[in-house]
Amino acid sequence: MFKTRKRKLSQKMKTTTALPPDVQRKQLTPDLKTNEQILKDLFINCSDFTSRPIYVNGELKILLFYIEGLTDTKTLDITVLKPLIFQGLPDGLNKVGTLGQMIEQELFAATPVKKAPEMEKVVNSILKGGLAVLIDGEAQALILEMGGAEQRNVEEPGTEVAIRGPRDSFTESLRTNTSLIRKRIRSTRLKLESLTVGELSQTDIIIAYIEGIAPNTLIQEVRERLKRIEIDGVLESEFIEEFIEDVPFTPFPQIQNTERPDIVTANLLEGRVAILVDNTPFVLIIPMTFWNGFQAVEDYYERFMYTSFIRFIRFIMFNTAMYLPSIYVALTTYHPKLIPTTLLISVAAAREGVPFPAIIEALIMEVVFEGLREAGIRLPKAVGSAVSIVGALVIGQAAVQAGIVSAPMVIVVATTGIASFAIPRYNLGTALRMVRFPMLLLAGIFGLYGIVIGFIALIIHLVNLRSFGVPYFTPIAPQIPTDIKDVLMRSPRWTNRFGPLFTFGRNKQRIPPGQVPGPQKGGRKS
Amino acid sequence: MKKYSAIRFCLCLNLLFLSGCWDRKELNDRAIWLATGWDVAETGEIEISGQIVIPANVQTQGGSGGASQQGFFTISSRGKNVSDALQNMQTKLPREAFFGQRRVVFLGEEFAKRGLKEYFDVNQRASDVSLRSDLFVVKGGKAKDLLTVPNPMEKSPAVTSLKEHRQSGGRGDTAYLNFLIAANLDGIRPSVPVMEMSSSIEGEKGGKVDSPNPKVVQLAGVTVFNRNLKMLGYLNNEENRDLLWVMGLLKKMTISTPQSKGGSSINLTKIDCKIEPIFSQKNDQVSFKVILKGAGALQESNSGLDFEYSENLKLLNKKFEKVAEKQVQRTIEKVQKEYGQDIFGFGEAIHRKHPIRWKTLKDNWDQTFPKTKISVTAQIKIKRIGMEGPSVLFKDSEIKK
Repeated sequence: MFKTRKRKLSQKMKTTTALPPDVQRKQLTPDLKTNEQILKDLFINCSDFTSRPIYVNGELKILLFYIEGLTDTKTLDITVLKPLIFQGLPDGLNKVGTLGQMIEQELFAATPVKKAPEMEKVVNSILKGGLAVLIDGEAQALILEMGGAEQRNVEEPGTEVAIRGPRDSFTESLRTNTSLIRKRIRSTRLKLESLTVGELSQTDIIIAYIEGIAPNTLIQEVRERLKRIEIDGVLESEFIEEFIEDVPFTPFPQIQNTERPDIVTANLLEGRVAILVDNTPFVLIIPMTFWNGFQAVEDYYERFMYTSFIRFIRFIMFNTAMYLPSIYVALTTYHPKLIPTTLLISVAAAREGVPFPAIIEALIMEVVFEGLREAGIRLPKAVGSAVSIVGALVIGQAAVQAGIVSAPMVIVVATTGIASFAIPRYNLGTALRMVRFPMLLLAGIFGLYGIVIGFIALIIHLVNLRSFGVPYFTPIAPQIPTDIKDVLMRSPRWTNRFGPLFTFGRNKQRIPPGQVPGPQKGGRKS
Repeated sequence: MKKYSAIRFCLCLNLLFLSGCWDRKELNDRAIWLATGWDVAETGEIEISGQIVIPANVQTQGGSGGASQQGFFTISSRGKNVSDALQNMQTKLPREAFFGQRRVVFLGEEFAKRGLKEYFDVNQRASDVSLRSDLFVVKGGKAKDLLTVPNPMEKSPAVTSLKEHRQSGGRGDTAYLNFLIAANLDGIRPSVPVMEMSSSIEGEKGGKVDSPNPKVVQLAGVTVFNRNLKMLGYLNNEENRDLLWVMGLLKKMTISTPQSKGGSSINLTKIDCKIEPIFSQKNDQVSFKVILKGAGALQESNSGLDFEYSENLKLLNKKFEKVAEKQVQRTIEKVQKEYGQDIFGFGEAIHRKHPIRWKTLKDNWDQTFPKTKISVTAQIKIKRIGMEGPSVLFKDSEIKK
């Protein structure tokens, strides 16, 4: 009953758009004055809206409209104003049909020019940083894409650092971002489909994929899910992520995000689809599996043996971060028999005089650690070091000496903390840190039995997750032996001839066989 | 249906906090019990003593300086049986005794002679007691006295005896399990290692822990038990090694030839043994052939033999074999004569190879075993000769090539 009412309510409220409905359908008139009036009414109280009148033979013939700051005034001066004012109109006004046609063809033919007869399109173009040229006697406007809004340079990625590998990262500008991908794949098969999301923000979104590699069903699904979104504004790709992911009620991310163009490119080549959102450097990659969380970009730039070893370390670290505090609590409170005698005696010695039960101790320490981590991120840089020093002193030294917390617990929590950061995907790490707490409670209540219950529940949950139809544990849970080569380890590139089965299929190969390097068989032929 | 799901969830959540925790026990509330001593009290009751860790004193971090305090203490009490004694003990123990880490059991001599059968069930029935324990009889003394003797190197006597046992190539923490297996089988009688109090310098009386010549506990052979789990008597350390060799439990051992004609020693590290029961054609009399195998490194050879020549090696191999054969034969004969108990497991060898014949033999094996003929052969191999061929102490002319 409530549901139907809600739906009706939402349908009523749906009509909020960027433009008043009467303007939406309006066409431009040949009369310059009327057009000017309509635009000025729309942009009333918009101090950044600028118009520039140009007189021909003392008569107001041309009007330029743009948003200051979004349009590059230098380009405007050189490409539009200079030819218009200094060169004036070329002779023989009557030779070429109309004034508009002539300006388009003879004056600024160099810049991309579009014609727009609808008022809506004109307004939208102006809002996107375009220049609208309205000419007397024309029922359409000339739209020039000028670009030139303030933007950051391409810098080193801040969140995904690599020792070896390209140093560029995405910026807030969508065009820059697409260019960074296009630079890496110079093929017409790289498609960048554009659409707009956000009633007010009118944010540009680009679906990037490689035609013939990414499965059409996946592309279609992405398109449909994106089109379903109704929202007032999109400020970050996470806004999109939340609307299109498969399972919302889970701490585990089902869509990968990255600010590195090389990661996006690599994923496009494997047949995945990327979603680029304007005004954010973070690009979404679809679909994501659990194991993507363990793949760092450098894995593919380092020697494969080292990478395989490091991946193994990461799996150990993942389990450490998930279970170490719980196992410590369970063993010391329920199963001290399982600890080697000498270790038990040392632990007992360290715990001597600690007033709290181990579970409370662990919870306090974990919460304090999470708080420290959070404070470290949020605080201004200048204060950040102070927090870490105080944190280290308070947790590491003073708490132990005061006998409030035992030293082994500090070691456990510190190890756990470090381990949780050893996972390359930050959002998988956050999931891990959250799941650790229920696990700790289970251990404190049921001991090892509780940990096992928690582990089974977690595995069941993870196996049930889907990312755009791809099971989250692929290729382990629906087991695909050929794909494990790039999951539990990284096999050399020449053995990894196919992309992942779920996007790639098996009839396309990435790398032809027979490329194992080595001395030529049968000696060198001259 | 859906309306109540939230309430149900809350109720389930309560279940988490209401149940579960009942056996939660912090380490601070447990007394970690390392070793148990069993004695017969003057009153005839059972006296149980335990060695308990004092965690505050074993703290290793932060330079404590000064005289180190003892990391353990010993506690004992009497009762009708173990449980009764433990209940009495709890009245003077502020924490609950935790037996999960008990690794050593000491039996007072008197208690061992009285027999274990009527008292030992508690060790198997309790779920938290480990079967991987070491088991010792205290020679000529009480277990509770031995439990008070610390070792300057280790934290507690329990750890000391466990390590001494392991280092000397014995059965280590499988001793208790071995005892239980032997108690349950017909073809082997239990044998339990022996500990005695001694001093670190031979021949002098031991002083305090921090003196240069402290009292220590020492491995002192093995005891022989009978079918009713009563102790009969002792064998010394050498005989213990022979026993373990025949049982196949020995891990390392040194054999030395007599000093008279250039004494030499071999350190055996690969040790094995095979027992072959042989039934005679005429009267079905059983006899045994024991084949001892061993290989290892030559430790010393005070003779002019040059071991870069294989004949010399063979010569020495023969010598070692002879010594080993003689030694083991003597031990077997001693056990047959003095105790008449098959602690070696010859009966089990029959059981394994001739199960049908064993059925007729097993009931009076205690009578048959002392009269059985057992012959011993040894196969010893020197694997490494060390850093020199002939001894450097001998001149070229004295060296036999």
